[in-house]
Amino acid sequence: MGKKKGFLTTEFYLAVFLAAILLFMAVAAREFYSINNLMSLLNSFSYILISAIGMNLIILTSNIDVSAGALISVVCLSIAALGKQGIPFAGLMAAAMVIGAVLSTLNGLFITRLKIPAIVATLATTQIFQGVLPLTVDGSIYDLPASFTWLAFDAKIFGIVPASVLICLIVTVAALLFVKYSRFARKLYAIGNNSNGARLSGIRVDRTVVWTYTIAGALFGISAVIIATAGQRVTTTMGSGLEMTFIAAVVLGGTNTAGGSGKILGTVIGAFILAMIAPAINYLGISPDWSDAVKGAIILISVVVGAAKYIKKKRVIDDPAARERSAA
Amino acid sequence: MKEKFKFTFNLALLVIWAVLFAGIAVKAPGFLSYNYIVNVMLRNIVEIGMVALPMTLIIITGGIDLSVGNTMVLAAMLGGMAAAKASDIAGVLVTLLTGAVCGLLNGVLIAKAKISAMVTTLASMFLYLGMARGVSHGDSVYSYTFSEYMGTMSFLGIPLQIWLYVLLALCFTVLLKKTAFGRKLYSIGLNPHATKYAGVNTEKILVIIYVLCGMICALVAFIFLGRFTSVKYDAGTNFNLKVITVVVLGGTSINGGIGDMKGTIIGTLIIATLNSGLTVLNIPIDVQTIVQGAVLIIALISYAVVNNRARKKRIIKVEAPDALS
Amino acid sequence: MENATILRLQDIVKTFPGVKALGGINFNLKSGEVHAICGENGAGKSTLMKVVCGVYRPDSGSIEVNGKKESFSNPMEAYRKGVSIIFQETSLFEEMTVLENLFLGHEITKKAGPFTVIDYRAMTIRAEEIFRRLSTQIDLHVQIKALGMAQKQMVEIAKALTFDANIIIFDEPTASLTQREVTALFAIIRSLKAEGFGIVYISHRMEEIFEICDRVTVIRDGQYISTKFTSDTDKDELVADMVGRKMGSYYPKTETEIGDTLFRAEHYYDSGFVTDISFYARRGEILGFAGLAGAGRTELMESICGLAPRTAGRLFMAGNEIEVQSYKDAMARGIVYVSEDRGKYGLIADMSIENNIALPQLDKLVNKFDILNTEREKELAGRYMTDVGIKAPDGEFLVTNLSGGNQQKVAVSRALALKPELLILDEPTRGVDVNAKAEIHKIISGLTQQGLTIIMISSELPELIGMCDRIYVMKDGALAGCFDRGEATQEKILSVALETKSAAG
Repeated sequence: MGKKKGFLTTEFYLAVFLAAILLFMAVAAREFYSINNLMSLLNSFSYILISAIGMNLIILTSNIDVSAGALISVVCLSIAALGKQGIPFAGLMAAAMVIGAVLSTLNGLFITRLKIPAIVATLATTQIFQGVLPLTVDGSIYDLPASFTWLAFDAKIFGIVPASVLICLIVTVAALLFVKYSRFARKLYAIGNNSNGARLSGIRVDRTVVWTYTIAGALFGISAVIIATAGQRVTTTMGSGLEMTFIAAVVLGGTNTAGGSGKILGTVIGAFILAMIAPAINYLGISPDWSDAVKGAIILISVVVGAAKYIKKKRVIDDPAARERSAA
Repeated sequence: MKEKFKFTFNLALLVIWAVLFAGIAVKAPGFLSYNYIVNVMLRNIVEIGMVALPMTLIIITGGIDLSVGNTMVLAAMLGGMAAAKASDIAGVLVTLLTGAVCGLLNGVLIAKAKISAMVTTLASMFLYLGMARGVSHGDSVYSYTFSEYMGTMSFLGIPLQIWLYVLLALCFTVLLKKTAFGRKLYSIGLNPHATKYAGVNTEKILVIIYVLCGMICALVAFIFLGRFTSVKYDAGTNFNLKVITVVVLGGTSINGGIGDMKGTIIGTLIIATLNSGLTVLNIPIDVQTIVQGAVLIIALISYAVVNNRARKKRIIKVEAPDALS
Repeated sequence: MENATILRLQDIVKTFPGVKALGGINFNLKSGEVHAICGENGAGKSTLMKVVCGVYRPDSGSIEVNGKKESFSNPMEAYRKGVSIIFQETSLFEEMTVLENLFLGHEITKKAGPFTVIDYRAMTIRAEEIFRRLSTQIDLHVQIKALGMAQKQMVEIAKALTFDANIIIFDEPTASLTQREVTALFAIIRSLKAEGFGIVYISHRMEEIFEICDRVTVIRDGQYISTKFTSDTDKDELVADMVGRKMGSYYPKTETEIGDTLFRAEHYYDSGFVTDISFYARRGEILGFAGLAGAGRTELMESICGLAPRTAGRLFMAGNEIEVQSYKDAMARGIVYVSEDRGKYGLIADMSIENNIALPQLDKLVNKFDILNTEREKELAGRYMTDVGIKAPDGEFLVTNLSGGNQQKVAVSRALALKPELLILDEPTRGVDVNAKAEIHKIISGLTQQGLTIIMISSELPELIGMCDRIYVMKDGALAGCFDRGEATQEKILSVALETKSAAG
């Protein structure tokens, strides 16, 4: 009774881990802190995190989206087509969010209306998204005007920090506030915890899940803008494979894929660690070819450590004594 | 009742396949040549088809393995490097051992540490991908005599790997349908608690099937390496989801407990026919992806409709015991 | 105005397919009153309350709350209209914090610019005020899963108070509380009562009813029996109302010759709850285990069968000590357990009858290549299906499509197919209609004549008294008493099972 909420949360351990790496890099490879490296790191961190937040919301409801990468490819290409017409950045951003939201809503409807497990449903839509792309364009859209690449080349804060970081910051702060202060976010946790209980509490579960996909889709759209506008050429595979990175950032951040628990802050740290591994390894003089292996090992270890904690708790819940008491 | 349900679905799948096959054959008569069917349509699907066999077992227990493609590539790579440094025999052993160890890691984490199959294999997917990239430094690893043999030899005019697939498909069909082991897999997928309470060692069974899956990936690694003569670390990326697509298309429920090997085999044939047939018809590869996706969605919707109907029938019965507790 | 009727139930009828769960229940609750609903397990107490708060919809009858006719579609709606229920199995969300749970679905909000945001400060103040009223301290920011049962219950009570509900329903609130926690709970109930709340108190614990309640309504088999002031009645009268006058004559117990001791447990402990249990069972005997829900009967049996850990104690089968590490070991020694929870731990509902019967011994039905001999499987299943009398078109029929009684018969068949010497049946007639119940009793009786020893756990006392040769009574994980067939009565067993201090056994 009256137990103080401990600081020893997953986010805390992750933050310590992150700090340790950063400190280590400062000692072992000072060049890691060069402005150029940091800025490019922050750029990739931005788009990973923005989408990972969307993924985090979906996973909170104990669903998943493996079509996010393909969806981002679709959005990238769509806005490239628009950008070719010289539409300015604001228009591109709005279009990206709408397209992302619409496509993702389709996923949500598909899952809730037909009661198809999210992983399979989004697996199917992945193929549709992937296939639709090259139909509309032949390989890539290139020679994009300067208005298109404005975000990557011209929009620098203080002439140095990429504007994508600002977008990411806005999204992150908004997400932190949203999860903490909105009634909607309470529903997400309740659904992920116990969807039947949530239904009994008067929450409209299916509708909430669809909205979650919609919001996540808009976030995927924002990521797509950052990814697409990085160069004058947009190809059909710009997002492929990214979904796994997003899911990994969420899992690394301590969110349980069974839903109902996990914090945005964890995902922020998780995304940062994932974004940092490749450059860190590079500056340590290790071949960048090992970066994926390191990523995999870090995720695996964090999951195993998390499971070890969970198993201890689970024993209590699985205790037949508790079961009989609750069953009677 | 269940038998009947499965029968009609497999039959429907078979009809879909036949219609596809016939339709493409009519449109493009070149498709019907023996050479094309054997050397293009079937030979190109063998790797996916083979891994789909153990994947069916895994999905029937309610699990999933997202790391199969990466296990295959890692096994091919380490084997190829061992063969280049030492001998073919070393290559073969290293390949098989890699497959088994990858599967064992997945199996132990899932069965003993009780981490969800999706999270476990997602993490191991990264790990195996990264290890393949790390050991190869991003370079290609090349085929050696044994893998070449596996990937290119023919026997009685039919490529060796097709013989192997047929043999394995038979074995897996029997394993799932006829053996006590297969029965236990269904039982685990339908109700793991009750299966344990019937005295079945569920943990051991889960470890076995993930190791088996890893071993089949290793076998496929030989064929893959032989067929393409070299392999790069990222070759397996789309492979994982393709395998799962085939299994789900075949009517195996991702929630476990429902499905059979015949469905997976027909699913494999459908995808093979679509891939090669649409190529023959000069339809771009991207449309093929859409068509595949569309076929999968149609299949999912029809399964969902049938399952929902079955569930509605049952709801009344579920409520009753609660009332008396 | 004082002591107005705030909840009135009239002629509530609720049927489930094949079962009339409630047959015309009347009930009324006044403000400032604690009104008990009491009855045996399965009498319909919990179903009645689920109807009141909108988990179930009644077939007919009316619910009047604070003078207005209501029909709730979910508990949240009931809360808003003033009726809150504290379920036995708490409905809290484990991963969320106390504060989040208290206000889930009705968070206090404020305007922050264009946005409506959750007002944590207001919620905290309100929650602290409520806990102060309950004289309890609970950290508002701790996750529910970190709390004990008593604290969770406190959160449920606080949740009820966040709604300005004036009716609070407690469903067996003391089932998993310690004595000290019960005392604290009663203090809270008294203060709520003094504040004018109307409280429905569901329980079958006599001493609690007489300690805390003003009136008591008894229901039996879904029927309304009586409503009395606790000051006008006594324990014996209530028990008589609960039990009715339907004593064991219709139990088909046949006299069997009881042989020597088959099974013996000595100073047995499971992993923490079951303490120092010693008992024995003789050949041909039906041994009953009585006790309240949560007394440790299931835990004891699961542990004996290797399904849960054991920390100390010895087991003997026909005089030889046996070592049981897993359920497989127990089966090999002739001990078979049939779980109380058919759905979760018993049968594979989506498999056929014969597949279910064969499941525990698949390894005996295969050739050396592990290929199942389905002929032998069919034959094995068929034999026991006829012996036990399972009503189904054939062995390929799915278990899920069977009635509760027939499902239970499948579970029993499966156990018998293992040719046990000691058969442990956990609540064999729970969720089963009257006819099937009688059939199962007949089967059990028949088995003992073939020399089988049966241990039967049941929460229905008439069943135990009617069927068993001896009855052990468990309480709080320990044996509290033992009665022979001749001397066992419901009153005696109840008083031992309910006694605050365990009686000598």
